[in-house]
Amino acid sequence: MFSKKTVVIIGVFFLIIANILILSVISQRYPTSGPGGFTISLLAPFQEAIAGSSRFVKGLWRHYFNLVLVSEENDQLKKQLARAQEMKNGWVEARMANDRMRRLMDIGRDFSQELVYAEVIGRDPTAWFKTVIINKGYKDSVAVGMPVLVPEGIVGQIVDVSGRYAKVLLIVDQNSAVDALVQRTRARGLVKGEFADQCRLEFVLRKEDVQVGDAIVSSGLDNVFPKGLPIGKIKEVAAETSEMFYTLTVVPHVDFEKLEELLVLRTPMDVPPGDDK
Amino acid sequence: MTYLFHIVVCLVLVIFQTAVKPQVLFLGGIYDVLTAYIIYLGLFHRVREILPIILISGVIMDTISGGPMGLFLTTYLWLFLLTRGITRLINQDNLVLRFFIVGIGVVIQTGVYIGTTLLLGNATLFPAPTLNVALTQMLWALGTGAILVTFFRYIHGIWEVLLNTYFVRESAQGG
Repeated sequence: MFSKKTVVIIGVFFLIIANILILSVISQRYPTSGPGGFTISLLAPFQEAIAGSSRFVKGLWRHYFNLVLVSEENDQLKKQLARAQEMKNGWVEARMANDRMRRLMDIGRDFSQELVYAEVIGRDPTAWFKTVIINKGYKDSVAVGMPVLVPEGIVGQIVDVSGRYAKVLLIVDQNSAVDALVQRTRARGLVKGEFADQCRLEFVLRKEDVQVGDAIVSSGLDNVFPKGLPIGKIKEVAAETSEMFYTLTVVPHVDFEKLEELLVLRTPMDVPPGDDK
Repeated sequence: MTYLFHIVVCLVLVIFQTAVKPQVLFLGGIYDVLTAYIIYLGLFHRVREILPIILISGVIMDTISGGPMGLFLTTYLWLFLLTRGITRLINQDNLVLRFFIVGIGVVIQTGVYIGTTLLLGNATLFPAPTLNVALTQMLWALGTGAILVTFFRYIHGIWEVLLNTYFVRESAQGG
């Protein structure tokens, strides 16, 4: 009555309907026991172990990479910090140099003659003599005999000049002498260099009143240093050396170990700076 | 070329003493290292090699230092004479000699400086700092003198090898 093809089509149709009906009935409930529960109980520990291991490995991997990244970041931060510190040091140095320059400029205002700014580039090769080499010479109008100063006081005088460099004999050198006054009493003497970065004031008459702590200034009578420039102060009064003169130990105001920048005062000198009497 | 080598070494030592040494605090008390070089020259080189070097280095030091003109030249000449005299008595390779000779040189140099300063009437007689400086320099000389002399000999040896390798070969090839 029906062809074979029609029977197959009808059969398939009913199978689909039956399948839909069965699925719709089964999917409405969640079995908590039975074969499904057993299967889950059997597999879940393995799944849990594998998932845990996987998480552990992933975590390890992620942390490793994080550590690598953190380490790289740390290196970069360290470099940045080092650069920042270097820049800070540079700024501190620049600020200090600026302060020193300002002070040099300030003392420059006290003089009518021209001042030549110079930097110390070398020192005496031995400990026995006290000279420094500066980076200004006769091409910068520096000449032998010119006085050299810093804000604290007298440094020395030019004793040798080349084109771009000059040699300064410091007042603490044994070959140096500066005509000086005790500022308080105007007693006159000669400041000569001594060995240990100090000077002695000679030829001060015993009748003069001198005390430890008195300030010593240049007298201007040596025609090298302008009058009234600070030299140092009396540290010690030695009474036993001579009947006629005192021998006084003078500590200079200038720290000769830390000389960096200085001023050469171009002659002829005229105006005495800051002479208070 | 040997003269050039000696002059360059002398210049390097002068620059070291005037520009580097003041920046390094612990080197402040060191002696004049040219003394060690002059002694090295006196020990191991011929007179015709040494005298021009002594002349040049003495004049350089005299002009750059604040001491009386000719002081370093005189000192170096005395050091050279001393070294020559000693090498007549003791072998130049003697280790004891090498250990003490720079120290002796420094003592002589200090003696010449102090003597000259006293002669010129500029100094107080032996103030404590003078003795401190002299003693410090002496200790430095005993500690480093032999090392410096050995080092100078070593670098001169390297120079000789380089000279023989390149210049002699080139001149042989050119010939």
